[in-house]
Amino acid sequence: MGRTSVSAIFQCAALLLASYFAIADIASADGKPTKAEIAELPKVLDGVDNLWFSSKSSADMTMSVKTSHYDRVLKLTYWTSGLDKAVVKINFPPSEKGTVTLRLGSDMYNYLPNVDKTVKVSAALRSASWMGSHFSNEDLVHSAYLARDYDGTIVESKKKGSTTVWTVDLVPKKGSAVVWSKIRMIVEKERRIPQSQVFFDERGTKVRTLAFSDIKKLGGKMVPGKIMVTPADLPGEHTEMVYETIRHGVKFDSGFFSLERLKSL
Amino acid sequence: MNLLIFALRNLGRSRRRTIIQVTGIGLVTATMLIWGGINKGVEDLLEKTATDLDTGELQLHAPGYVQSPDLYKTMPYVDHWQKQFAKIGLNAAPRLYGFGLVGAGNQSAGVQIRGVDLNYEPTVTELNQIVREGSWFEAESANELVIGRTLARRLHLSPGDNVVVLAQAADGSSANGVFRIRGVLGPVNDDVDARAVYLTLPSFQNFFRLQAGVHEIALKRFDKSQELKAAANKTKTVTERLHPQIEVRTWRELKPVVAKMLDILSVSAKFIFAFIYLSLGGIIINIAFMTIYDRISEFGTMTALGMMPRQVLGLIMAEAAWLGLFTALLAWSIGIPGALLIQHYGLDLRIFYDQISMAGITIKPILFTRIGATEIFAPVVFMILSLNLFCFYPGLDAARMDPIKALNSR
Repeated sequence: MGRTSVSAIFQCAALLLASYFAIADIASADGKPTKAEIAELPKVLDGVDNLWFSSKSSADMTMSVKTSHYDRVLKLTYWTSGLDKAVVKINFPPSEKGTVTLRLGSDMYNYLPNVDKTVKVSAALRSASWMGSHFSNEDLVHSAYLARDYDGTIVESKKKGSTTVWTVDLVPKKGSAVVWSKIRMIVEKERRIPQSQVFFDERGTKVRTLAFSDIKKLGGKMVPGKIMVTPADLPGEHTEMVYETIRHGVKFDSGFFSLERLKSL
Repeated sequence: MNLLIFALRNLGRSRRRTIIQVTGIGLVTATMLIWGGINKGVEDLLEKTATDLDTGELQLHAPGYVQSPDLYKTMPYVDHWQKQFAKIGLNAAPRLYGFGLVGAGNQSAGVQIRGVDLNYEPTVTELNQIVREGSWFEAESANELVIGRTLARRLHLSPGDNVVVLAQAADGSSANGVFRIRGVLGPVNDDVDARAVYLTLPSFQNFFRLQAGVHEIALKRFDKSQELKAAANKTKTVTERLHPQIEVRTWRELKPVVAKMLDILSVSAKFIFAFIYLSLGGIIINIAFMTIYDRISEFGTMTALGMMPRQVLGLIMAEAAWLGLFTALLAWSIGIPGALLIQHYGLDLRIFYDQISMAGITIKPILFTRIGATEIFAPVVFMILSLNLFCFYPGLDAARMDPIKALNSR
């Protein structure tokens, strides 16, 4: 086969591919997801799950809580290992410094330095507020994962300049122990960066909204540096979490995620 | 001859029959009296358990607190309000409520933390008297808890054990501390048994960093003869003066399921009573018919000797009246002491049940009677009326009978 023929074949293939993507884009412009997009959804969900954290990572962050009764600021350090181990330590304010929340698989514990005791958090309290914030215990230790625990459906796919923005509805997979009955997420497909997540309870009532902003490079990745949670039933209240540093590939010794280590963190 | 004396002689002549009749009807009537007392006692016990161990008879709250309890939805309270409530015949106990976690060893449970006033709580509830293990608080009880029995069992806790209590304080910070279990309560209701953790009011305020106001004021009438609704209306008049936004509710509004259950229990008891009364009526009909038709020839002889039919009927009715009187005396002489005995010592059914639970209220299976005028008189009046009513028709039949036919009926 001559060089010209090979070139012609490549040209034809390129033309076919171009028309395929053109058709796909036309479909996206209609708001309906293409088959390729539907197939890509699990990867995007997995990308969102691993945006801030990887198999072994840590982060420093500031949490600002504003309610109608109090305003408070907490400074935290966060460590994760895989999907089932996480530790959050409070560094500020001084009165709560050294308080640690540990998740080990499905169990969760709080270490209270002023009484030098560790309390197991019962499963019933997973959705309760963490340290007076609008984040729940479950949010904080990231015990639910979108890709693992939810089935997603792309409700809408829209092109905005060079990026594709999806509206995705997530409902719990059969048998997964999660709090929410539905999450509606708006996410940038290419960068796997969420713009917002709206959470609904089992009655279908909107409970809260997470807004993601201040996209910047942290830990070598472009991530939203700020997450703000706004409860639906408490107007004017919110909690804002600002990531200061993120480190990936952190090395932990074998006893790092253990009850024994909580005191000395 | 006076028919009453004649009737009394007739009963005396057939002494064995009279004794059997009086004893039979009397025992059933006495049983009804005691049963009525037990039923009244159970109703009272359930209401008392619902009010005297937890709710109180009336409650005051800040607007919206009952629908959506919140640490911040407090209402003002000052000690001199006690005098205002006393003036309208009510005791008052201020309370505080919060939610948290109690951890013991490797276990924990979500709990409702309740702050109670040691001086005033005993004037409204009997919580201090039903501590099953350990003891109720004393004036200096700081960092001590009294907890529900199911919670104690679930976390394997007993008096003297230490637990960690974790909650969110009013300023948003983490409220946590180590507390010693001082006492474990006996049965109250499912909610208190499984979730309640009691602290003294100052300990609660300290723990939650909540200095002003209370979540609830529980009220109890000095005298139960004062109608609950009347007491609620008087309370509204007082609270409008003290703090107009305070919401007043009766225990029946706060515990509608329990109130409904008590109503159903009362109606079903009336049905049971109706059946028992019908059975008693049946026994009386049987005795009345047998007594009269068995003596037809006797009545025929009386008529043949010149007794008027209305005199025969009068004699039968006079006998029924005597029978009623003797039966009433026997029923009361057995029923009233029996009921009083059960009122004092109780009817212990623990060999059959460990506890009786209805609409979330748990009571010990020891039943006590409570007898009033209704319980004492209702069965006896019914017995006398039915005895007279059921003797009238066969009596009329016997009085109208041709003496020759009556004499031949033997």
